[in-house]
Amino acid sequence: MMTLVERALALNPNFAHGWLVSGILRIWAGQPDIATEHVHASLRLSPRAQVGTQFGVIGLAHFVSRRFDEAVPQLLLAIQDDPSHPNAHRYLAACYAHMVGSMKRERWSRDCAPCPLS
Amino acid sequence: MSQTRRLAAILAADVAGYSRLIGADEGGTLQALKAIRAELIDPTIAAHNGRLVKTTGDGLLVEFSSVVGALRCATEVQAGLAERNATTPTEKRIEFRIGINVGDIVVEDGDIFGDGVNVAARLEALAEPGGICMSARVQEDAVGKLDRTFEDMGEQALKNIARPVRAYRIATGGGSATAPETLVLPLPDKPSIAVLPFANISGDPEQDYFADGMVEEIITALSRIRWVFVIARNSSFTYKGQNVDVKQVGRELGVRYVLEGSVRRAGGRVRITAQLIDALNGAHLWADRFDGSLDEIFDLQDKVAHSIAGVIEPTLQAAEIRYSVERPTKDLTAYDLYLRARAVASSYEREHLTQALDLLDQAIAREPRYGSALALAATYRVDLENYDWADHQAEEENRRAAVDLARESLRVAADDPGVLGRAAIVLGRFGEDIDAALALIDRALVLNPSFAFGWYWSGWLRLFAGQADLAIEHFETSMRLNPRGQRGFHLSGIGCAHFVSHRFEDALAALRVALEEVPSFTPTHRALAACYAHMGRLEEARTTVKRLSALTPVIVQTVNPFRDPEHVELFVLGLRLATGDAT
Repeated sequence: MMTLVERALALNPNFAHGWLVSGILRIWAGQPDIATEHVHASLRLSPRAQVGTQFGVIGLAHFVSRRFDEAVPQLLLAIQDDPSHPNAHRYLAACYAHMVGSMKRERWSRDCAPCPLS
Repeated sequence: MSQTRRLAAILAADVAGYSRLIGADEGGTLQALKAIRAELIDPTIAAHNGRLVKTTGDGLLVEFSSVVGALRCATEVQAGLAERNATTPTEKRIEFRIGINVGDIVVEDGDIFGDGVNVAARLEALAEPGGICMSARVQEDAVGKLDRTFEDMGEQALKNIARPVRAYRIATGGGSATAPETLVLPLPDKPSIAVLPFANISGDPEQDYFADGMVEEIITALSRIRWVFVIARNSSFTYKGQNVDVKQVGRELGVRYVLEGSVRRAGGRVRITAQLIDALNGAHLWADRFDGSLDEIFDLQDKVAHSIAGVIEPTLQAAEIRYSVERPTKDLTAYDLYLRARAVASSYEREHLTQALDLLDQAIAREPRYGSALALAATYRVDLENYDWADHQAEEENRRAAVDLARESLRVAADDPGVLGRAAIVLGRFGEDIDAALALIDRALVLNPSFAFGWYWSGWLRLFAGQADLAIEHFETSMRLNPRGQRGFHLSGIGCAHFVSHRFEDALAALRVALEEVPSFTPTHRALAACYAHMGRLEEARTTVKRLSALTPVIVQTVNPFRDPEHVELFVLGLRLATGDAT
């Protein structure tokens, strides 16, 4: 799949939708940073089109990299642009859940860590 | 207490610098405000069926059932204030900021609440004094219904609003509203262009489909030019039906060049006009018109799209070269060096070609995988061959270097039509496998069918391969795609093609014009001398040889790119007759 989209972009480097597809594939392949880069290329080539999917992918890239604070605003933008897209809601919910989890962990470590549990 | 919900357009306005005005002259300010309310604001609200919800000292909140009504009210109020302020001393001027949003509101006891209202108030704070700022939803509803241009301010984080909101503004041309000329997006590091939807001024809405289809074809054709950055269709079509300023489009999309045009219809015929504009300074770089019949609508779309894409490539190249030469010499990028090489070499004179090769060496030293620079250097070595060599070893070295450069360029950029085309002509000219060279040029033309230079190179390669008629066709295609380019080189090729086909009269006609247009191009002299000789016009053949010897010591070349022995023989015999070496 990535070979196909790479070929498409080699033939037409101005193919905005191609860069988005490439970004999505890179997320699936576990390369969130390259994914973000490619989605930005897509946004730059088409700065005034609907951007929900693009922000959704960037948000997801932050999410899988555990940068929850950075993921939230991107996912909110995605939902604002395209409220009917279920995935952005899923990622946002997961994101918030992990943030609550990490807050709980922080509280636990603050309150309990001094105890010589080990 | 009754509470209801409804969808409404909300206008929030307040006086810019209210405390300063009150501090300076409380009585005068309040009196002026009262007059503005009574004479301008209240009547304008009423005229657009608005409802004044409340006033807050220096501000007001108005509800409209129509987005367009709210926006018209806002622009009329701002225009009226600007008019008043024109005759008022600066320190006494009263200027409003206005924000408009559309959304769900909660109505309770005549007052309104909710996110929709809060966003309007925050947008108002973003507006310049004398300006109007609105949310994307308002802008979308108003596009095409209001003779105003909207400027995209991008996503804005608004205080106490959870989500960022995309905001737009309109400059009202009044008050002190001098919107800062901000570049929202930086220009890419290659020439960048947006093709705006062509205006349909035919009065026939049916022609919209035709115009839009054609613009899509143009965008697709331009996208194939790898060294050009082309804004996607979805974004450029957001300007459809809008009366926009090209400079603003350039800023909003982050592009240097904008192509715009129009479609008119008379009976079964359409006239398409197009112009290429430099969005930084508004300069017109190219303009042309095309006429055609609506009976063959797809043919016409294709023809116009390819003609435009074909002519834009060399026009952009020329503009980029011009700008690069004007740039200061410090901090030159590899791309600058490449452009400068092209500028220097444009004369095709020997010492200029040598200088251009030096510049390209520097570019390649900075970016060893710079395919275009490698391929360009290879072709300049072919152009050097044009002057021939007294020193055979140097000649051989030049050829070897050219072939190496061409192969290296293919290795690093085999999907770039420009690189494929240049590599093909170098390999074909210097005696490598002609079928491989033809395959490369064919590939380049599949990738970019509007590639004017590609068709030119294909002309020569067909000629070398012995396909004279196809060669003429390709030279003509190239000239059609770039009608304002130099034609001397093409005519030289066409002349050679007629010559090897024994059509000496036709050859003569093309070669004589070619000689006048590019007097330094030695293949023209050789073909012309040989042609005269075969026609028995030895006097003219000798004169041509004399002109040739002023350019190069070599009259009859030992190595010849023509693969058909009969064609080689025709050249060699003709030239020997012309020089008196044979009788």
